[in-house]
Amino acid sequence: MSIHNHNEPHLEENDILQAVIDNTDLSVLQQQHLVECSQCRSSKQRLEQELARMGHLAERYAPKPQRRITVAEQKVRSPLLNWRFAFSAAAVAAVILVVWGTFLIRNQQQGSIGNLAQNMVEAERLMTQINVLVENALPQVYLDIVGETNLNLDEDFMDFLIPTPEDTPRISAFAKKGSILC
Amino acid sequence: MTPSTHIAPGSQTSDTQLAELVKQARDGNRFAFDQLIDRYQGDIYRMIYYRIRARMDAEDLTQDVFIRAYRSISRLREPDRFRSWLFRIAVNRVNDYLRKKRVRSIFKSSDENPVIQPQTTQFQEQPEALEQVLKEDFWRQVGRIAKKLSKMEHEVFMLRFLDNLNINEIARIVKKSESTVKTHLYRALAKFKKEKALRQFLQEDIT
Repeated sequence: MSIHNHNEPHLEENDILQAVIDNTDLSVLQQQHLVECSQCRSSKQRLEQELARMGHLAERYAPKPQRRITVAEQKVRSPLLNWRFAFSAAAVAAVILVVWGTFLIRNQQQGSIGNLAQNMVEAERLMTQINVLVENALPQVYLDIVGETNLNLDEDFMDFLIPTPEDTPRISAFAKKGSILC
Repeated sequence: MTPSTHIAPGSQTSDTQLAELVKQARDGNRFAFDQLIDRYQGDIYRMIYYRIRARMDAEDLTQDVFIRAYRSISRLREPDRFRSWLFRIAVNRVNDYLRKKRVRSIFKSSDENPVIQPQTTQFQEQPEALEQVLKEDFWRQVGRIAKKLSKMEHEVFMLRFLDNLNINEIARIVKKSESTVKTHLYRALAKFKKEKALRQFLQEDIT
């Protein structure tokens, strides 16, 4: 850039821009020229006016806010409150855990008691079956041959059918493996 | 706690008074913070509106900026930098908003994503027709130049000439040196000078 002293040229366009941004960035001579030269001062002022006008119009053409800003509802949580919250949450979680654990253990115990009862029922049913067999060992097919379903077989008849070993020594001896009768 | 500094609404606040209010707000004085809101809510709201051009969203974001400021004011070391600190929060919130908007626009059809227009409500009084035309023309011209500027040029240009912040404040807001800010401003101004339509619009308005 060159500085005019009467016949010297004016500030160049980039100097005007620089002056608009920050006057002090120009050299002392340029600043001096700007003070003395009405033409350069005028071009700088015109640009500044346009920019200022743009700012004013932006403000004028922006709609007014219809809501008042407040931070009343938004309270900052103090660290103490956070600690309290964390402690409460931990306490509630601990209670839930204890209750749940208790129920779990109780259910498991009830499960084992249930198994025991079932075993007892099965054992009792087995005992009933055994008792029935003791009372009447004949299978149903033999009872059908006899033709009487409600047959009351006395002990003598049963002994006849199924003799005791004492009553049948020969048979008993005969049953012995490898024994010789005569 | 120090006694609250009271500033009448609409009155000019000196730097000392503001610094005192910020100190009190930093110490937990809600009344002091409320006064800071009264002092700056207009500036912050407009700053946001200039960038997103949607009144209700601008109000929401302004509210959010002050809530964030309230939550973190205890960490503000230098009370005299409150304004630039507040603007920095606002710039970040606007950038977040625009980023989310861009992401959302990917998943929307073009019909669902209309060009942003300044919002008006049926409850508002309709401005004069000429005023309305001028208004729309103005924002269209501003939008046109914004497209020709880089992101940083646009940011510093807006902060300097629409939000009326000084170079030092802008440097703190964008976290760049003052000389970098000036360089971006210089480039932005050079592009502004070439915008004949906008300049003519502004010159007509001046004359």
